[in-house]
Amino acid sequence: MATVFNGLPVAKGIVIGKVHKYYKEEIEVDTYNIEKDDIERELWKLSKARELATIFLNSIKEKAARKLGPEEIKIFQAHLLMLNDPMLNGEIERNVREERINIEAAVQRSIKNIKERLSSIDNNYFQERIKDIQDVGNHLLNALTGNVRSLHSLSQEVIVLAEDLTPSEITLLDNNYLKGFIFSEGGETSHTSILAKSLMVPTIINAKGILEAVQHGETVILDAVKGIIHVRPEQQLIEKYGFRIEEYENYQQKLHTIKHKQAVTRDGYSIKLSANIAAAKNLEDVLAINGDGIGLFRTEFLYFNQEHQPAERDLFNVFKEIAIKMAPRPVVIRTLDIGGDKDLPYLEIPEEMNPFLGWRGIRLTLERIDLLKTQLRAILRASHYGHLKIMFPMVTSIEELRQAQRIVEEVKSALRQAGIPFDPAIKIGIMIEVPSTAIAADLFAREVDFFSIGTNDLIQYALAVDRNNSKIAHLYSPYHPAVLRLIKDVVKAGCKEKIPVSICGEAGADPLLLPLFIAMRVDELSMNVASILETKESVRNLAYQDCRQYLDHVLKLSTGQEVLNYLTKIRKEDKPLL
Amino acid sequence: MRQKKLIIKNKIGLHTRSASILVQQANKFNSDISILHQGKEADAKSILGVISLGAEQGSEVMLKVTGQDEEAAFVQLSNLINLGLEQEE
Repeated sequence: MATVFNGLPVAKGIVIGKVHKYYKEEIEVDTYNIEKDDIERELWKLSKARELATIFLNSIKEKAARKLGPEEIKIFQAHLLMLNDPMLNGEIERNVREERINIEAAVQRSIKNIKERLSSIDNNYFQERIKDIQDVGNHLLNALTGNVRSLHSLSQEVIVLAEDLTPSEITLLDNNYLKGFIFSEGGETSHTSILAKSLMVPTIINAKGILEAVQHGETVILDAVKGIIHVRPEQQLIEKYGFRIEEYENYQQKLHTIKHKQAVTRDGYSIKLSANIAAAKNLEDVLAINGDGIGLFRTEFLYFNQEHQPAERDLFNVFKEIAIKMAPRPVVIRTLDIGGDKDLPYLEIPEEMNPFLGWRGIRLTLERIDLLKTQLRAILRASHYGHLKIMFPMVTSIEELRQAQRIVEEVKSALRQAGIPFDPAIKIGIMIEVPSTAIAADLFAREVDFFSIGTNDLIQYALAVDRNNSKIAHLYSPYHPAVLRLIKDVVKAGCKEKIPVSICGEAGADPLLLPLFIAMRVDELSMNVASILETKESVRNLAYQDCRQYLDHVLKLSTGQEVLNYLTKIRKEDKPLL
Repeated sequence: MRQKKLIIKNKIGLHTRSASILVQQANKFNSDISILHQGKEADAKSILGVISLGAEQGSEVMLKVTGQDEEAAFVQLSNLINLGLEQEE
């Protein structure tokens, strides 16, 4: 029986394949009593499983060394030590000998006990590490049950199905065999989505209920164009999809023929299309499709999976590589945007009732000047090698902006004194993502070199909708008249002071909103790499004069739904493709 | 037996990665090695034991070594802790 599930496509494409179901939670095992004569056999199984898991962890460790770096290996080294830990193994053995339970149950119980003991330590960092122990327990249980199912070594092409994945899980997975992702959870702007997009495989998130409905190894059709998953499809449907995949691939090839053409409307209005990236390794993809630059480099990912903040030298090397590879194209580097839904254990950010209204972005870095200065020094030093720009996130007042600018000046003069070269004319801009800044954009425009509208946060703050709360997710809409007005006014304020304005949130890649952004005279759209060519194709099919009319009409509409309906209608008329 | 009080200098304390450096080093010796912290004692060859001490930055621990190679073990491990456990394996 075929079943259909819906979800949100975050990276487009269509694939048919077998599901690789990935669990992170505790593995279910049966508990039963064993005879005295069975004790040694159970313990022998444990030592065999430990050997297998050791081989397995060593292979992951080697892979981490190749793909990530020396800092990342240490965590796997620690996992290896945990696997062979005398305390853990003593406890397992005691459970087998004294409690007379089977080895699988003994492992499960011992892991649980150790986790509980560690939970009592009152320190955020140790709380974080409890999942390491669960991980190690899962490796052992997988080896015991012959059920080695991990993402680090896939043996055939698969579509990975999971609730959600951590950034390091995504980084380490075997992308040679990765055909697509299905996540039952996740928001469009979550880290999972951002990283999945950078891997450029078809991805659907928020496919509720699918985890329970699909077994490991079953076939699915993942249609991340329409946002549909067909589970256990009939042969007829598979054949039909064969044609759709061919059609889609032809379309993609056609898109590649326009990569050297400009994003310019039929009547000659041009707009820059840049990429949002999170790591230097995404640069190749940007260059492959001839993107106009990097409109947003999210530096947070350089700070994840670390024990402490990265050294200036490491940051400098990354920024320098990006500057050189992209030159002469511009690269906007956003300073650390931590807080909200993004936490770093070593910063010891206190628990907050409302983290999105709390200590995040520039509010945090202005107090942790060490972090900010290290980052600014690295950016400034790297600016000597290409065209870099600095952007501050979460600015809500002119005071914050001026304070940040003062710190940039301090860092510049320190570099000057040390005789270290940098670009003295480096441009400084801000993210417009808070309503206060959007409303007072005319004041900010006089004091900065550029604006970049971060629609993801601007929408959630303007509409008072937590974007990660699925209960109210339907209220989160870029088509809301209030959001469109805010964006229009920010662009207007930028035009008046002759500073460029770009849009770097998800809305920047929305083909429905594109005519409006063109009509508003947005200078640049920055988006995930996979959307750039498609957006360029759309731009080339539009006419600025038409867009003006669409915008005039939209501004008269009263609801987000009316806006959405109207934009959908004109999109259909304008663009028959696919 | 040799023993000595030492201060944990790492930023986050005896966390997974620094504990792992300590345990790998301890595993090279035959002696019984333990770390004491706030009334708790952990086998220095057990990473789970060392982590569960929950020793944070600036806290005082006692290193205790007993066995044939206690002299070498004691010198090496106390140096390692004094250097902030940053040493690469």
